[in-house]
Amino acid sequence: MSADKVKGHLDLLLLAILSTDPGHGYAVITQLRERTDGLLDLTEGAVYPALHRLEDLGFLASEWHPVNGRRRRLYRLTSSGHSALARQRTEWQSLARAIGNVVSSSLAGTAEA
Amino acid sequence: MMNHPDDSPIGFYLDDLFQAARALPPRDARYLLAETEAHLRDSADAAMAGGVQPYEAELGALAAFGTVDDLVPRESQRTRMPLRTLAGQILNSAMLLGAIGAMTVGASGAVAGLIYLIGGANSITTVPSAVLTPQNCARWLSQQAATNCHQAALSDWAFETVYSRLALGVAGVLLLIAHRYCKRRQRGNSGLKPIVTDTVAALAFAVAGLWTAGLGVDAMIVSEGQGAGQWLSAAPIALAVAAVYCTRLAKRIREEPIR
Repeated sequence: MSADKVKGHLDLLLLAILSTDPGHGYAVITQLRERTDGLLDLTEGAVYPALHRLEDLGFLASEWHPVNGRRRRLYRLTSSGHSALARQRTEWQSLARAIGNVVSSSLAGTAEA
Repeated sequence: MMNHPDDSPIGFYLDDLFQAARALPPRDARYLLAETEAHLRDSADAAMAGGVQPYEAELGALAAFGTVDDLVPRESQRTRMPLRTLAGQILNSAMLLGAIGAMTVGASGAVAGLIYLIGGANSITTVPSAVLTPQNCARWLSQQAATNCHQAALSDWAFETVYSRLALGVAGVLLLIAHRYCKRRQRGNSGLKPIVTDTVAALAFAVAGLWTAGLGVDAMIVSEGQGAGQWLSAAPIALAVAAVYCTRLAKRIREEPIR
């Protein structure tokens, strides 16, 4: 799946991944790849401006920690981040349901024809 | 052949990033460099663990990460907020703080009303003798059931003190509803950062609370309590709101340490 399709939903994906455990950028990318079976083809570097923007918005907080001998910036969701995730998740579910309804009905129409 | 650990694809990439990131605020540039290096080295290590040669592993990590020309503009875009967005955020936060401020004044009106019922008009207002002109007296006496002009003026002003505050409180509730509606339409966090609004609110309400408390105490001492209620009805409410914002602010600072 192209990066353009992911772009509009990157915030939701990052918030969802970090909602369970704090993580650094590389871990987030690894999680994203594992959870989507490598379906989402994202330029890895694009994750950092997105994480920084979410931190600017107050949705994430970060701290530097040494992990496996390297200094890494660990991100975690704030309470505002949890609220934003809940809101964006609801919006996504509505959108997915709406698109699903249209696509399913067109499929049914094709099958009948 | 790599002679020095930094004479490698990742080393050269970081050199380029260092050059390009000079356009960013220094701390953002430093953080971006550190995060990028950790990411690229992790990525290359993972490939090497899978049997890929170091040079190819680094090239692979860089290909997946994207170019410096791609990364830095994204980061720079983040730090440059459009004026229109900033104006929108300020307006949004001003609406919310304005609504809370107006509701606080409304609550102080209710307290002032209570003081009025207990202590009379004299306790929440004073009328300077200069305003007791025949024309004003005629108007006040026609509106208030009072035996003299001073009493009629006191009743009129006390009534205005209480009801104008209560009216402002109602306006505050309406403003809060309007703010919620606007926020829902804008879908999301469209105000200034919570830490900014909490700081502004905590300071504004603390100053207002201390100022009105000071005026109230002054009225108690200088004017033997006459009119002190108009200030002392506002001070505890403003200080209580300031305390709420201070608590929220302390929680946010603990949760999101200021960089």
